[in-house]
Amino acid sequence: MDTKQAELEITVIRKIMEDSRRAVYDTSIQGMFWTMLMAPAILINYIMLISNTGLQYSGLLWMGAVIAGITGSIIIAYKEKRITHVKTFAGKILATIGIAVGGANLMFAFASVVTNAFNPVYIIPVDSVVLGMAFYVVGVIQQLKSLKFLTIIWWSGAVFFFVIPSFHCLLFFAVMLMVSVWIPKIEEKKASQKLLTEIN
Amino acid sequence: MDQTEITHSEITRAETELSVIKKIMEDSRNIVADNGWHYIFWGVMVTCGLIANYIMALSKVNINYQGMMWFILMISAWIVEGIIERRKAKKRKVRTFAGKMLSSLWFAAGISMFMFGFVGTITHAYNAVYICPIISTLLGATYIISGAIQQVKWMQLLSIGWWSGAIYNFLFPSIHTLIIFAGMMIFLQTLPGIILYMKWKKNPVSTY
Repeated sequence: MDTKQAELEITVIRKIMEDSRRAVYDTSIQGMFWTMLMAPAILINYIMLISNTGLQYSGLLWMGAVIAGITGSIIIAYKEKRITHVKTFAGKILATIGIAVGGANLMFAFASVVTNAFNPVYIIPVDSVVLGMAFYVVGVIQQLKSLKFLTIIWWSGAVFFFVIPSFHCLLFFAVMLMVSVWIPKIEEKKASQKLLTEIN
Repeated sequence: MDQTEITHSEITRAETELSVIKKIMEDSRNIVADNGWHYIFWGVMVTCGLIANYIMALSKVNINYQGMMWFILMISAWIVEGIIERRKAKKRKVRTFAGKMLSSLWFAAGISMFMFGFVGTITHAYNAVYICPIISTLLGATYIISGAIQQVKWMQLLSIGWWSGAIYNFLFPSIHTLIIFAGMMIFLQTLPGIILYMKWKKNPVSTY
């Protein structure tokens, strides 16, 4: 391989990596949307439980949240498809993680509610274990240290609520969902700005 | 005239860049290709554990001993894997991003399974009979992600088997759940691992 060819290859590799990294920074809209929808729904459910009011509407609350989530998700996906022409490898993996975790958590809800495999109070710690796993992998993909730190909190929270089960786990889950979106977002923005400054 | 020359040069450069990108992608895909030994190793280990657990359960051996058997088996398997991986890492020249993702995924899945298997039952969150379907559910999710990282579609489809088995075992829990799960381990983990290994044998490119 001559020097010119090697230089060209290195330039191309660098460009692919930079493009990929920049594209990954913009792929978390779906996650943001679901979090901003689910966290308030969980909080409302928690308030209903501690104040013992409107519990008969909790089913309606979740049905509304899920329908709004699916509708919003389809709209976002449609808009993203029109704007984004290139799908990165990392972006595809992130989307797959979302689908896999969503599917697993849905299965756990089914196991608890339909088959009575475990008390619904354990749905949150079980889901937290899966979310911990997901955030660990996302942390590796996006190369964000904060996500790995959040994994430890997700898993510690899961252990805590396995040992001391209570409906306060709903509060933990809602707060963790919001924190898990916003803290990496801040780190992401800083890293992205640094990267863009380096490129320019 | 100059404009035409620039265009020609641009086209040539674009063609070269595209061929370079193609080559990088192919090289990367070859390096990513897992030779399947992890799947075979864990598949065999867990299947042996399940069969032993099934025999212990039929012989009415105390549940604490059954848990102890799993704890020793899993820790030993993890140590053996760690030693093998360390040796492989010394020989390995490059580590791809996809390879890093794959090992992170299985590491996190391993911790999660450990938590489901031990923390969940010790705290009496659920009956031990539900460990297998809970782990099947997690494995279904892990296989979807793993297949996406390795770019192997059929591997993603294995999650249908994991999740179907999980639903069945959630609906009809019994002592035989162990043997059903052992069958799933053979058909959805060990055999796919053997297929990956045979493919790698035919084209022995580097692994991640």
